[in-house]
Amino acid sequence: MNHSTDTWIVAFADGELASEERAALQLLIDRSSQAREEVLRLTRSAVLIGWAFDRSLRDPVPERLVATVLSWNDHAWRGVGAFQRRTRHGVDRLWQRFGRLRSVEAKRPPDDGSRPRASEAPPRDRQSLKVTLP
Amino acid sequence: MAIQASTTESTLRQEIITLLPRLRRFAYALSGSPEQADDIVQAACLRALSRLHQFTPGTRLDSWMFRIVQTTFVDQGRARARRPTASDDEALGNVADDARIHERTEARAALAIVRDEMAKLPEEQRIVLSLVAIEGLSYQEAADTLEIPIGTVMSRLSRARRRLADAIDPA
Repeated sequence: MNHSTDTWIVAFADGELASEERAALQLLIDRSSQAREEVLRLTRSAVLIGWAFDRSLRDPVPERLVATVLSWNDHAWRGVGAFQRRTRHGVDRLWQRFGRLRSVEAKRPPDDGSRPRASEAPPRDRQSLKVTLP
Repeated sequence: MAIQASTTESTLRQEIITLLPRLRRFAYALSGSPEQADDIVQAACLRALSRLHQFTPGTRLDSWMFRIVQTTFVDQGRARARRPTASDDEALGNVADDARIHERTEARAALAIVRDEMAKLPEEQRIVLSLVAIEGLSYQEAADTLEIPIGTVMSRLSRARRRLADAIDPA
């Protein structure tokens, strides 16, 4: 039997074939004692494979596993979520402020020359900043 | 809204606890060691709990958890050598109590062969075999769990099943 036939025989033994495929395989199995024996072998081994690790089902589950699931604290995860929300909120607020600044800038009256711009203001004299104590 | 989320989380935790025996068996089949299996399951539970928000309600929690156990095993298990398997005495509890002693002896030997051969299988074959032959997932469910095509599941499973059948019951 080639690999492809093996694959279909395994699927047949596992009951995984659709009715048409199953009927086709059944014909092959009826005609071939080798195929019949292979299905029996696979079925027998499947039972043992199923049993081989069953002690995990019978043994009591260790307390540490149950405790892990019950007591796991998701504050860390919630904290990350809150941080993300705060960050997003902060970015939104920055954009809002930026938007307000732009709208203020747009509403600013045209420059009539009455007020000096910051860049045009005379340089502040350092001496005038000195504080004179009485 | 918060109460509903909390209830869902609490329900999922309970469902994970219900799944623990199956998760342990799956991890045992992958690792070959009951002790290592418990470590894998514990790490997988922590990983799952930190990602509960990623679980889609209405889908199968067991498939989701098997997937996490599998990735945890792949992440952690490769660094460790597979340890020898445990005694067969408890595993043979499946054999009827009135079974004859030589039948139990034969079954014990066969179970030991199964575990030895499982340990020798390539990792991807062992994972598929564990999901289908041990956990009872259908081919499609195994394919969905592992996010691989169903043809790949069939191919890997066929090789693994054939190898174990040859070891247990030589043609």
